[in-house]
Amino acid sequence: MLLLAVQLAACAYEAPRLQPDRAAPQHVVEKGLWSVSDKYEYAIAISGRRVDDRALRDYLEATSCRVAGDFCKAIRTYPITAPDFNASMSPNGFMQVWTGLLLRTENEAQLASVLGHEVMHYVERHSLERLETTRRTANLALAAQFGLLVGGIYGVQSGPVSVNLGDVTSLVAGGYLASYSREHEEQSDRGGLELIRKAGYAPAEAAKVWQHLIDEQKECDLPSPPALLASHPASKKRMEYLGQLASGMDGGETGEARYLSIVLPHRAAWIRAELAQRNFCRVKVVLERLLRQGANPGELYYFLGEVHRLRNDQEKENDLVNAIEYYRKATGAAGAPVEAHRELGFALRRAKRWAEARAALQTYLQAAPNAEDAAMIRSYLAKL
Amino acid sequence: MYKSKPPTRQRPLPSRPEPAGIRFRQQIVRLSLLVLLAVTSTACVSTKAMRAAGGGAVRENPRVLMMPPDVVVLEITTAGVSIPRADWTDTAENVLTEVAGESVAARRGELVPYRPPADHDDMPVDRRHLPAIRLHQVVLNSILLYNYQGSSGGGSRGPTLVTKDRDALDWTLGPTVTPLRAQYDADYMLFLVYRQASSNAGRAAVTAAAFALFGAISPTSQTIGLASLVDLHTGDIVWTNVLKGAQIEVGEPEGLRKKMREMLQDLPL
Repeated sequence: MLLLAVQLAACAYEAPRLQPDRAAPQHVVEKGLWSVSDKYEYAIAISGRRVDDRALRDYLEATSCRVAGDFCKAIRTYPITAPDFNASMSPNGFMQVWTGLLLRTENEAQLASVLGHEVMHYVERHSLERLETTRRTANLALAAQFGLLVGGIYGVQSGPVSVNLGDVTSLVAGGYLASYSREHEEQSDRGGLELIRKAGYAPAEAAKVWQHLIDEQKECDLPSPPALLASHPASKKRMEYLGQLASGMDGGETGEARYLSIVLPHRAAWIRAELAQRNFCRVKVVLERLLRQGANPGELYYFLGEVHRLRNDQEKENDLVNAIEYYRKATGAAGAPVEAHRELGFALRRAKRWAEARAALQTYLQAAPNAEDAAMIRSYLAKL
Repeated sequence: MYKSKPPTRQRPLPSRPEPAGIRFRQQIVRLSLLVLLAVTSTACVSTKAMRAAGGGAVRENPRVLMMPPDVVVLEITTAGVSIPRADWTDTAENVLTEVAGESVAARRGELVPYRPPADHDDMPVDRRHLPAIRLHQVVLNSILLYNYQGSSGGGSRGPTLVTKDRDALDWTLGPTVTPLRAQYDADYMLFLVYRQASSNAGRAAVTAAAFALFGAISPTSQTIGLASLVDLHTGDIVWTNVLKGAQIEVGEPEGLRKKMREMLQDLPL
């Protein structure tokens, strides 16, 4: 068995880096990977999950381009409507960035550190390496199995021997993307950090991305780390080595103002998508961090109110009182949506604080006299 | 002149986007459906065409808009790892397009390929066509579930809807197809899907050895072909066909050509 293990380890496949002038794939496995990735890209490009917003797309393209340097032309980056922290790279240079990630990075340098990481998966041809290694390893494992079986040892009949058409369909859903090895992840972390340093971003921001994820995981007792990390080095280890590497690299810009100018118009929709998953604890951690960052506090207070209203746990969490408090804060802060007055009014009404409820609903009607629900609010007011 | 029939059904279209989680789940459902179809097809070859009642009114010299065929062909290596093959995929794609062209021509029609807009970089199809293309994808999935699943015998019958008869093809894309009809002046729209996973020589030897040693049988090749024809005057899906389980040689087009002709032989044009 030891011999077998040694043999399996020995056949890890390493491909030389891609060259910047988008060379067509040569290797037969790589051609297959690109072909299937092109189809996957087409499917995502026309799917409703893609955020069809030119400004956001252009911004992601420009940022990827700056990070990717010579590989700029080979990379295409699409924003995808999905809560949670995730990004992925296909073998053909097609990158997806989830809106849940854009909600969790605070500035362009943090975004760039994730993009840089993904670009390195492309440049280092990790998908090809992974599939080739699997193919070679499986061949050896099969030979070993047959040896064992013929030798009369019972019970090694599962494994890679079954033909499963499930593969046909899962690959179309990007099945060949998700499985990079831990070594690949670490290589991409280091290479990505170098890319953002070269691009003029502050390398110290990279470690903060992982710190944020650790916060979410700890605060909310998540059993496993968020999606991107499933096959990745533990956030803590990652944060540590990225921090150490970056300590020798001073300076660089964070690009916070530019980042916020693009992201803020979308932020409310992205927070709603997170709320729809009802992971209230995680949303709260994210909102509190964004509050510390400072932009549009009214919007963030409003959504903190929404967290408490939707969770609606009066016994343990005192959610109604907390919701009222946050809605109240929202109405006094910059950037609150007009609905903050309405929700404040409804929450006060539930708390039987009639006079305050009436005042809040009246303020809502004054601010939005033509709102879709104006007639309904008036009918409520008539009974208050 | 076209003998166009008045649209009989106007179903409400989904107007609210669902949360991402649900969409992902739907996608998984869609994928497992195809797998189910594959599993129920183990050794036998079958096609099952369905035609909508009163649909597919025969038109003279029909113009048929051909959407880009959705094809993936895989090689199953000796140890059972699936490797996508670009060359086989391209060959199959060409065969599908060629057979569609000759089937339409045999009915004195004209096949019009879908052309992506010039600004290909940002959106590979015209935005006005997106609702029909996306809706078709969802509806085809429902057809597989409510009309086809379990229909090949052997397996249990699939789920039913109170509003649908399992044995009747009764679906429409409604007015979403209008922009496609306007741009291409076409009467129909044809969608073709093809998936194949084929064992290489080493794999075939392993399969034979596994059979000799343990009596285990696994197919050396698995295929699924799907075809659907949409009437662009009404939006109705007037015809579908599913081809399953054919043993088709990869890399050389003749076997596939024969099977695809079979799949399209009842095309009601």
